[in-house]
Amino acid sequence: MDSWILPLILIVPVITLLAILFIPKNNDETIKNITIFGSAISGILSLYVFMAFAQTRDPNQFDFSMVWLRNLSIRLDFGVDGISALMVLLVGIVYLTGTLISCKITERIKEFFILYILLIIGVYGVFISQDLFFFFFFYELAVVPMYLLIAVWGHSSEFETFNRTKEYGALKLMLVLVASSVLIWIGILSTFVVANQNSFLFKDLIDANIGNDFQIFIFPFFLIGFGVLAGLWPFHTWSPDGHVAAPTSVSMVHAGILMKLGAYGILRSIEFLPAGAQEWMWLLLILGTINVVYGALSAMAQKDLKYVIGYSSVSHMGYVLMGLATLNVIGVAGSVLQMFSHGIMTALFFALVGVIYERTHSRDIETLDGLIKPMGIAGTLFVIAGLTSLGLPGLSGFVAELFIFIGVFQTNPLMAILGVIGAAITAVYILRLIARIFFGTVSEKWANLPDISKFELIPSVILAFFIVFMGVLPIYFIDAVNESVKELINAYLSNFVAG
Amino acid sequence: MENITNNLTYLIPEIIIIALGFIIIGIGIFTRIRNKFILPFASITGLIFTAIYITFLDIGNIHILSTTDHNQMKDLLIYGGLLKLDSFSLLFKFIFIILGIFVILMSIDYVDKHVNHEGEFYGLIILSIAGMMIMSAANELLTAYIGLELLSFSLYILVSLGNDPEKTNESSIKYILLGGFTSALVLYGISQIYTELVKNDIVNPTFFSSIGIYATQYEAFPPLFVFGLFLLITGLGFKIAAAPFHTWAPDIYEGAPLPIAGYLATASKLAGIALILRIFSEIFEGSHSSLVIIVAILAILTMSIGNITAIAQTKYRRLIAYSGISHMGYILVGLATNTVDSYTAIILHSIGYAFSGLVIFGVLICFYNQTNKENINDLSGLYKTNSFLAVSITIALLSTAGLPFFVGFISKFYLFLAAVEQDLLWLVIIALINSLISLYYYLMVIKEMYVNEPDDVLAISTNNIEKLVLITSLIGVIGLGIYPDIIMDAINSASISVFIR
Amino acid sequence: MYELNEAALQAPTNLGIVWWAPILYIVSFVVLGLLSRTKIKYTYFVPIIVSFISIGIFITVFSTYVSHSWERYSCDTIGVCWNGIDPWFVIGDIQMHFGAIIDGLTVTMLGLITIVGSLVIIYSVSYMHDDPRKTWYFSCISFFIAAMLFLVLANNLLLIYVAWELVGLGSYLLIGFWYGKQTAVDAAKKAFITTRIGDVGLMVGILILGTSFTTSSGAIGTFHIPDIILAAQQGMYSTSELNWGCLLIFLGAMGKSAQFPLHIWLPDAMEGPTPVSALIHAATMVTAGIYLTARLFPLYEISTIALTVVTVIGLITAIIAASMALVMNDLKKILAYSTVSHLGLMIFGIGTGGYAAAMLHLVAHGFSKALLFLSAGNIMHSLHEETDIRKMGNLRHYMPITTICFLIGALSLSGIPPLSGYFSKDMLLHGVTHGKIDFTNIYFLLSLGFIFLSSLYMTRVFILVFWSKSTTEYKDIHEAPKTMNIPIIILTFFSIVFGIITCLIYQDTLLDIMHLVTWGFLDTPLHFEFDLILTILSVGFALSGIIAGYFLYQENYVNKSVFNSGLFKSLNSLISQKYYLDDAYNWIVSNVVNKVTAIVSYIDRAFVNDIGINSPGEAIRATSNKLRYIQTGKVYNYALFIVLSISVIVLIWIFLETGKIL
Repeated sequence: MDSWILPLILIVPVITLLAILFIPKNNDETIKNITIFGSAISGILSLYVFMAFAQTRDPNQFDFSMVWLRNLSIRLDFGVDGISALMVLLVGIVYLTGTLISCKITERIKEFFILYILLIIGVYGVFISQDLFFFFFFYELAVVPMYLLIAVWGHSSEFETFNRTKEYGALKLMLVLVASSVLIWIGILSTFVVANQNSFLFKDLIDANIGNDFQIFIFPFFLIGFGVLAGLWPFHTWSPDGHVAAPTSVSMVHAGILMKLGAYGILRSIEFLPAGAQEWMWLLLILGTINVVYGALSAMAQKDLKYVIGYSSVSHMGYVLMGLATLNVIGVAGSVLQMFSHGIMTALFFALVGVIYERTHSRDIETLDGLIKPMGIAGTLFVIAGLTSLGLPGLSGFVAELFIFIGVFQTNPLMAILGVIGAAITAVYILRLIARIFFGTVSEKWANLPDISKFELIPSVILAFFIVFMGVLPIYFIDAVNESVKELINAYLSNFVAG
Repeated sequence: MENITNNLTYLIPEIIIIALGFIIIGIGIFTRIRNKFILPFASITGLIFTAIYITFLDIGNIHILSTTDHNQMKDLLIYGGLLKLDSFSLLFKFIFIILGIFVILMSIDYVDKHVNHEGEFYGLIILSIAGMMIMSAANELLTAYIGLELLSFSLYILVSLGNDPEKTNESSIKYILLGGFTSALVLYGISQIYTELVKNDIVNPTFFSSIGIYATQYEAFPPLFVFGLFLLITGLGFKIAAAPFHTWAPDIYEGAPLPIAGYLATASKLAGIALILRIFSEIFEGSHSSLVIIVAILAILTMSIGNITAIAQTKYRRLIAYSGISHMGYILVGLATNTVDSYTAIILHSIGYAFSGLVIFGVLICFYNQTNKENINDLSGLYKTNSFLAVSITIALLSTAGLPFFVGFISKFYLFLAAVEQDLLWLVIIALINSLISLYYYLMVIKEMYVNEPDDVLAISTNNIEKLVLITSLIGVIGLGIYPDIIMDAINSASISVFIR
Repeated sequence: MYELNEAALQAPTNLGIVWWAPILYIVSFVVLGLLSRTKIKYTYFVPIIVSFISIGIFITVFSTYVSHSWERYSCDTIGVCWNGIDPWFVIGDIQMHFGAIIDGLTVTMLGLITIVGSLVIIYSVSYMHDDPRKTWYFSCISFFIAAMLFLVLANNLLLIYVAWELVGLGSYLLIGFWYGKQTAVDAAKKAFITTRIGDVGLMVGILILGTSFTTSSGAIGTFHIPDIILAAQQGMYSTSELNWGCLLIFLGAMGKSAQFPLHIWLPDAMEGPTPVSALIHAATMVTAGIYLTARLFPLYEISTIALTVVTVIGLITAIIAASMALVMNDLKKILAYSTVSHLGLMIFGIGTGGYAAAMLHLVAHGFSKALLFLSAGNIMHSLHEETDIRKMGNLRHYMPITTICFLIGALSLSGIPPLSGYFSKDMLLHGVTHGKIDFTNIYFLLSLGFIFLSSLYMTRVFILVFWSKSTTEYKDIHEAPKTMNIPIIILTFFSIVFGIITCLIYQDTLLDIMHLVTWGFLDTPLHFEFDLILTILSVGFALSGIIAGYFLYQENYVNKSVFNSGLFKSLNSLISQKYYLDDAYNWIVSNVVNKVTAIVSYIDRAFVNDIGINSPGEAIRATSNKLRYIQTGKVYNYALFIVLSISVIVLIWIFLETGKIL
């Protein structure tokens, strides 16, 4: 019995997109309203999917399957487990909030929303696909609109030492991501051939019991290929430049969701390449730790507000990768929670940075000060996001990072200690940042800026709500994720019990 | 005699088309028609009729959309096996006609502005279609050669039909010289093969099938045969502009009338591919690893030279020429693989390539008609001056770059998967890196159109015919990308029928 | 393994009421937080009511606890654990417990927090009266108290860590309450970051203790404190694990309790409102480190190395801070340094095994120091936020009540009998002399020096503020309003009687309440035992300090030029520069941290990005420019090219077939 919920999750944005497509250019209001409406529906659907899953925890309740290409026996096969359900929720939230935020955009809003929704379709597809081909199909699809979104609607940034045009950022982002997907191409093609199940379904690939030597050979392709999108060091530089150049909502979606795609891809490839994962995880652990510390240190040196946030996402994705690398339940669960938490948090960050930039037309930390006086609400929300990112208990980040630390500590104490130190460094630069731009005496040129407006307040509050909710009631999310992660890890371990 | 009349029924499409071609030429010469629409529509009606005829042509379980199980598929040899009617040839004939229709449609305005002798223009296009149809149906070297020459000669003339001499003359002379040169080589190669086969007294020594038989019998080819073979390859490689026989393409595209450049880039390349598939499916009988390696080398050369050189181009015609070259490289990858799957993939890929090529050239023709500009950076701000054109060409470029939602992605995936199945992973890796490089210059074009401001803000208009052409081919590009299964039957049966012995 | 849960089952269930104290404070935090942007007055009644209820809760718990004798002296249990039996949730192989420990330690801390908390809240009502954001202020205070209560209730190291961070947040918010003042902002930042450095140690220590052994229920590691202590007792930890765990956790305690060299944040933290200094930075939060160390004392008891480190650090802190308190001129800073030095004394006490004495001193000091801070608040309130004691003097005529209260507090901290400070301090010294630890004599002498110093600087403050001639003319100076004085008087009362009650009247009940589990490796004084020589020595040193102070600062017997000459001068400058610690930290930040980050980001820019990512693209573009030259546009070149390539292909073929060229 197929459930139509998941196809619906894809269809709703498609319908929204078509609707926008056939509205003439000039009436922006209609376009905005339709997009907001569509994104609201998607958000509700995503929420429904997650809550329904959290109720029953039955991984097959949403299964949907149809043949797509007979020659290659490619199936359009949807389904969610706890992990992807959480990710779907994340997409829903960020999609809705990003849409609301981007109502500020004035030029070419129709095209913007079309590309934006295309991006959203891509990420939704990745998280609900149970078929390696479509996983990759949507993965690529999510990358396609980025170039134009950044190059057309983005901002260039000049510094005394160097400057980055938005075209450069967009081009680098696009080329690096496609280059990484070359590795994934290789991985998928050869895995399909070697598995010899004549099927791309994850479960068939898992059943294939691919030979260890091949797994060990091919896993790095998946690891690096997906890792690049997760901001894996040393291939991370596309991400700060890209985030900085991108318009607000695209930064939100990109740092909030797209980087998670990479980690999610690694997670999935662990399933059908267990031996490869076991062989290579040391690399991921080390690189992830480098991400954490290195990202935090470079964030501390940045002068541009948005660059700080960009590097902080590099640093936080490092935690996700560390958690994955542990390959034990608590670590992986932690990294899944961290994916969600960081997604929400960084979306909030970018939204507020957008708000500030909107008002001050400056992202230079040196020139901003005392902003909390004119912009009290925005400042408070920013502080909340900041405290989340330094892993304060009671906010979403803490539980995730705690689990990751415990998990890593069981596998490699040294890396865990470095991770904890990284969190301390994060505290340093975040507190410095907050103290610098929000507190202290406000200079008169900022003294009477308008505070956050309705279209900015609603999304920010939604995001902040989820941060606090997950911080106060982590158990709700933990229970939803715990089962699936346990299954995944047990399946992973069973490979070695048998062999 | 009896035989001939019977077989004539199978040649009705070719006959119609050749007749049509002469009629159009005749009209063009002997009447003075002011209206620019009459001739093209006359020819299009003829072509459409033929296309329909082919679609519903059903010769003993051979059908263009054959859904019967492929084991019962058989082919039909006519004229003592000179021509072969199977779903492969039918499919390709159909495709050629469709391409012809599109090219004619999109060249109406261009012809009106930049071409003298429109009668010859349309007529020769139609004749060249006939040549291509013969190529796709040929089952024997000399017949294939005849088709090839028919195509080439019409093209020689078509290339020279533009009305600004200093451009067209140079390119047409180049094309004729080089084309003649290579076809001489082909002829010489055929003679070499012929002698070799006769020496080993194989019956009908010029048939493809007998080449297959020879290839199966003799593991190590003698040098003469190999030499001939390579000359043949040279000729075909010249036709599809595969490196290192590609050098003509950019220059000719630059000089030729733009629709003809599009025609060269899509239809004539497909014809060459059809012939190559026929011949190589035979040559690869038996195990000839070194031959595979040679083809692989050609593939690598073609891809890399095409893509890397394209980056430095400043004129969009040359850019498209090089990107076309690189695509022939991908197709050669499929050829080196040489399985039913890879042939299916090749056909799918070339169809997709043809569609996106049509879109690209359609847009460029509109653009050129109204601006007479040829540089890439003249496209700047095209999105502002005409967003429809910009979006169409963007989709086409992304499809050729092999990004999803467009046919380019699935066809490339199919192609490379087939290659990996034959342990050609190394070749696929090179191909993938190339497609990455190609993305760069496509993005440069896209950037010009969207990010940069137009130098002069005169709005570019598109008439309905152009819209029709572009939209239909866009539907092809996107539709096949979203749900390729709809044409897979036809392609499957075609690729299988090639391997029917 | 779970005997304590047997105890828990028979434990009186009405102890569960204790949860309501933090929950109510949370409620008040949320309510006031939501109201904080509105103009409503009188919001402060919410926390006041909550604080009274919480005191009631404390009394209930206290009496229930005292009336149950079943676990006193029992060495195999740590108090009563709620919900400690079943894990809250199990993820992977980790059990998470969520529950409360209620034993002497908890009850003691509960009392201190609820009482001082409510007094400070009442005091703040009039102190913060004119502040437009006082709703937010009370909201933060409620948040802090709630977190602090969670901290002392938690039965699980992770919960303790959570609360630990949250009290840090409360302190951060309250120090930086006047965010307009740059100094306040910097102080808040400094406090958070410094404690955070300690928390790295705390986190890692918790991880070590939590994941290093397998419980009976098969889980690798639990953070349930009783389990951990029992595991340590049963020797489930290797020595190094235990040592590292204890040391790293103590690093956390050092951060929170401002131990040398992480004490630098506490004096700066005085930028916050004075009631906040009284509550957070004198009585409660800064004692969290002492609480944690006492809570885990059984572990330290086993790991002698850690215990020695604790002792030494405590002593160093005590003496250095006391010396700094001697030369400061800012009233609140002096009190802050005095706090640091007394915290050092407590840590030192725990190190010498006198954890009960340390807890006693914690409470006594909590009352007295809160008293002192609030009196200082009075003074600043009437002197318009003036804090420089050199500008004060002779205040006894203007604010008599404050004077008396301040005097009592000062004497109590100097350890003059029968004030509470005397008892706790003597009990500590008793622990030092009778404890089975090395270097007893050195420790003893140094602590006597400490006593001398503390009474000396207290005398100095008192004289300069209240006694000596005032150098400035005061305008409209007045005694503080009643709402501010009543809490002070109550605190005064406590600092007078607390010691007497606990150590003389009810000693065998009350002191046993503060009695922890121990395995008697060190025999530690659990009662106050009167020891004549000890008393004579300590009181003698205290009095001598006072007398010296009197002659120095009131009578000016020794003229000040002595201090500006020779050894004294250098010493004086060294101390008044805070031993150059702040300068050292600043140097590290500016010359190490900033440099490192700059280098990293340069590497990121120049190598990782430009060479790693950009250069391949450049290379390809360059190749492309080369390859263009194939395209000569000359027909004969093309033909030649074709022929050449054919022959090359043939050569390749021959090579492939025969393995050699021609």
